[in-house]
Amino acid sequence: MLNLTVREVSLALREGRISPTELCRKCLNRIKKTRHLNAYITVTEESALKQAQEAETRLLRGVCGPLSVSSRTTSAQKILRQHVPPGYYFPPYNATVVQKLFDQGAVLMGKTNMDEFAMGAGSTDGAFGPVRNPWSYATPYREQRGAALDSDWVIAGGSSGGSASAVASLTSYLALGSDTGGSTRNPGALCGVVALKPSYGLLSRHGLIPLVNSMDVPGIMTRSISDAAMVLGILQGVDARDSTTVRAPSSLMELPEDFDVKTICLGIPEEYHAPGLSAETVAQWHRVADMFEMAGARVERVSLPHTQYSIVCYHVLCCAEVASNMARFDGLEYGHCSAVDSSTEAMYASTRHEGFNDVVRGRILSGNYFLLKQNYLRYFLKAQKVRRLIAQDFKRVFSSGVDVLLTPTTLADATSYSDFTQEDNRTRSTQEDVFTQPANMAGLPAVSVPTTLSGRGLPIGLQLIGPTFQDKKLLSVAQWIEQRVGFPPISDHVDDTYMTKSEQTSAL
Amino acid sequence: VLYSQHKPCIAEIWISLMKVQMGVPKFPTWEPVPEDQLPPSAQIPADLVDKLERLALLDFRTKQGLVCLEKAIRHADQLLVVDTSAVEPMDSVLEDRALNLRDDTAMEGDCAEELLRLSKNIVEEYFVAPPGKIFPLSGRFSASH
Repeated sequence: MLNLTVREVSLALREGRISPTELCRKCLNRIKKTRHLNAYITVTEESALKQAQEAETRLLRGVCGPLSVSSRTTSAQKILRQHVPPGYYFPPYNATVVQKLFDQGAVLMGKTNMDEFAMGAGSTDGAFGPVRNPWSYATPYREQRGAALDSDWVIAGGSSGGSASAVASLTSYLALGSDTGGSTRNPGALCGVVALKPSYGLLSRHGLIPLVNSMDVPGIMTRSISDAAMVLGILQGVDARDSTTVRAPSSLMELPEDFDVKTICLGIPEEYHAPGLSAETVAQWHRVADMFEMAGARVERVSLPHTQYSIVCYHVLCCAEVASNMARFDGLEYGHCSAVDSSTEAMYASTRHEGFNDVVRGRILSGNYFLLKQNYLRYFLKAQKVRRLIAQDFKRVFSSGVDVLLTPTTLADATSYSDFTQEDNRTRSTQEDVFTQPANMAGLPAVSVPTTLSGRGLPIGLQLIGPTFQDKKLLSVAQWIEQRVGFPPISDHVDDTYMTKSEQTSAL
Repeated sequence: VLYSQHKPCIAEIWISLMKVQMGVPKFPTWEPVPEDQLPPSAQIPADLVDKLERLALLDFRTKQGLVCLEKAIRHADQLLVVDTSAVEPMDSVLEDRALNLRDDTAMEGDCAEELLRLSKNIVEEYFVAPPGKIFPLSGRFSASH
């Protein structure tokens, strides 16, 4: 039951094969069993059971929304209690996207772990410890690794790694993340789940703590493309509380079951063969491009010449906006507040000193450097100009007749935690976000689809990027891939002996 | 000895060349900007360190923090090789459309208590701050190295 999709489990609920409360308890038990993954920072057990009970009454009256109890929204720490570091913070309101899921009868299981303020690409730099990738404990990886269970687990990717880990480990059917430079697609690819970054402006950001306002979007993680489309249909649309939201081009998000790819022109952007791309990922990229060709689609090599500067441009714009956005965390109105009270400035400084980790502090200081009067033109405006060139590259390709671009999502499969932490956060973000942040630069919809397991037994994902507000077409093509690649569900590979062993080790 | 008697005709060579051009590239198509194409590295004098700390209301904490900034600047220097003459800066991807405005009136309210509860120091309905305009950061880090 836990390995179903939102659609399947909704049907099971409607047909009375399981009750909302039973299902909720199953998920809570599974969360307890997989605690070592550190996917959740808060499990909202009591309110989940209450919401499940309410869903039960709704079912009896026969007015159960399509999501009913089935969607286990882990409204990321990001969205509600957003990445506010050590200081304790109770959000006085719900994010619009969370409220919309509640309105559909979703049951919130908890808040998921992530990098502090979403600044990272591994979910290793958070206040609550690193997130583990559930595939670290599945048979394909374990069989090669043998017994050393607690030393060689692999990262979940980031920054919304807790959300991806939650969906992949079968504790939640759906999770929200945020995507500023790839924070939903990166962990989605590494944990083998579907991860959608919608067009900029389609989903409200009200309630999402801003990282880079001009790029931030809420992200959707599910186990199937059709679920992602359904959730997108629920979440999209104008919100008076977010002036950047626009009217959705289509209200219904039912995807065609038999999509005709013969009408599609698939672009292969050559710059996405970046230095460091693993041979196995290249092979998958090849394999899927060939599938399209065999099915009669037009497959064309295209060029997006400014791709290599995109990650640098992202770095400058991100630091600059972070410097400005993080100014609100001074300890006065909410969040952590230092005990130092010799002056307001001393209190601000020591609150921020105590509250921010090295990564956040580093980005704030770099941002202030790029924004200095003498550097503003050289770095900040320069980056904004390069951003336009990147957006124009996409525009040119899409107006030349290309419908959708096929690229890798990440350079390789997930790295072990011990290897990942050998490099600093900036270096890792540069490597990890290389293929994902260009879509944020240009505001385009992009989705990561799991395609296969690598030789190490870990998921590999590919990314599709579409023209702005053509999210539905993008998902139709993604579903066509999903139906053909035969990505193995994790439930085929979960061996409870590994899980139990891990629990014992953790208990020591 | 088995070998092919077939000699590829021009059309076949052309087709196989096209295939190489068409599909997924076999090799990386770019490399990071080499160091010798970049301008000299920026120097960060002690007074600039103080200024940044004051602006950010944060201290570098250690020498490592400063090294991190230097690396971040070096990374950003790669942008300088891109030709952006006659290119306008881009603020927003929604620049080509009109966005919704709403009336400048409060849509909700009556939540003062809830909001004040999030603060550590309040008196009645006021946030409380210690005495102001005393800057603590200047020279703290620069004095230590």
